[in-house]
Amino acid sequence: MSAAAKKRTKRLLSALYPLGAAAFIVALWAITAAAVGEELLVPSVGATFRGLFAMLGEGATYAAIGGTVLRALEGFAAALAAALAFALLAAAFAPLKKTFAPFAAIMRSVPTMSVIMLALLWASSSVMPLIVTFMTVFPVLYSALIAAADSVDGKLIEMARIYRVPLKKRVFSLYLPCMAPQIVEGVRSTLSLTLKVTIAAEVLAQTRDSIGVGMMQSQSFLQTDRILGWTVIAIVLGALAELLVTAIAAVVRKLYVVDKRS
Amino acid sequence: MLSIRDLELSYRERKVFDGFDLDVADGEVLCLLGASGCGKTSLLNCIAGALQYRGDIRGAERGVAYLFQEPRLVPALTARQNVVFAVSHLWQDKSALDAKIDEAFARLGIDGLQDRYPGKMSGGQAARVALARAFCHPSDVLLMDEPFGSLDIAVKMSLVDYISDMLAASPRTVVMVSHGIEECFALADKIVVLGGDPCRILAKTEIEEPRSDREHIADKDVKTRLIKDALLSNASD
Repeated sequence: MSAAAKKRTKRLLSALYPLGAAAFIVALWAITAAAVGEELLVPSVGATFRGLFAMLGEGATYAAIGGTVLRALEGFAAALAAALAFALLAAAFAPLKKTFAPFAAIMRSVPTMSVIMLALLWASSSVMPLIVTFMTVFPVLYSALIAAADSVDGKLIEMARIYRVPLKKRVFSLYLPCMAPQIVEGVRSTLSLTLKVTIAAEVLAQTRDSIGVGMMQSQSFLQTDRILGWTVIAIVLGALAELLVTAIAAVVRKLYVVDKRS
Repeated sequence: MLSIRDLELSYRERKVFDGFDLDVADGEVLCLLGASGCGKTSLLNCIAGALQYRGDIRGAERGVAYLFQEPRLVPALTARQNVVFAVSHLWQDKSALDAKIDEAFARLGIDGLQDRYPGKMSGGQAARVALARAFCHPSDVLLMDEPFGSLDIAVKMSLVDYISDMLAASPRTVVMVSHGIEECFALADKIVVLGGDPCRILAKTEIEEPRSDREHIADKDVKTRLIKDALLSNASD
């Protein structure tokens, strides 16, 4: 077998693994639904997808998807920008790192439900998911970025200090490029968390035009197939986000040829 | 002139320097020899302003160029970008910097490497890029901390030649730390042996022969004996 054919087979096999996993989940679902025999508790695969396609024919579904994606992205972008700013400041000034550490630890430990309950009191239903997303995602991203900043070679930092390289240039030409692969990994691992937290907050805040409210209404009308339909939509959105981050990671790897020898 | 007066430096309880004095004339290449841990690199770092010390160091206020033991190139930047990263803020005239970088790369025989990333360079190529970065620094002071330490003999010899060539083209006040007497004889105008606790000057010797004619240093054996005796006496302290 030629090298090109081997490569093609390998690529085909690596695509088959996730398809196999998906087929296994669907089979398990179908068996469970057949065993339970009650559409209200566990709807069949067919009923769920019929419900899903019906939902996709409704304009409100797209408004809900758009609203949730926008809120999740806004909360995530704010958390990423803040985490990046605080992590870089902490990396540049050791006393700031020590000052930020207890705040980050507290934010990591605060239960999400506490944040949701307090945000329900403080903010409107449209802003509340943003606050909850930010408060949940920020400490996770901050910890990941602090670890990334700590991994920047101390000898390079010393070189930049001896050459008196201005802080702005150090941040953009030394810290950020060296941190880039870990930033991408941090983004990848927190994106799915972001979507989950945003939807949970939307359910409790009853935010207009949101997947959360769509799920809650479906639950109120005992439309289990539609709840699962929304779940499938959330999973697809998560997968799309994952694909996007993978593409960005590939570009970052191409742009920054990182080698241990420096 | 680079002038160090009454230098005091401590690491916890240990006094590395206590009233240490040293002068390096303009354009002079001073080589520091001594046992590991005696304070040679600490002295360079004091001159570079990277360590907190007490005392008076004059002549390095405009900053220093520094050639480290490793190339210390930013992996995400190309060879040229590495030089620009380290020195562009020190140049008012950017076209003059561009010309200086081109000249340094050409002189070091790495013209074709300008757009190459450190991960794709050999050890010798990376060392030459680091040398180009040091020579594009506008400071009159160049510090070198065992720049040949991790290089094989052939690369080491060629780098000695390049440094000698660069210094002829653009003279600097140089303080170089080394473990190799041969490199010191090839480059230095003055050799100083450091040792003791706290660190002091154990011996010094000057080399009058021009750098281009160091093959025939008249009293090389006498100077070598002086350096070795100083190093050995310190080792037996």
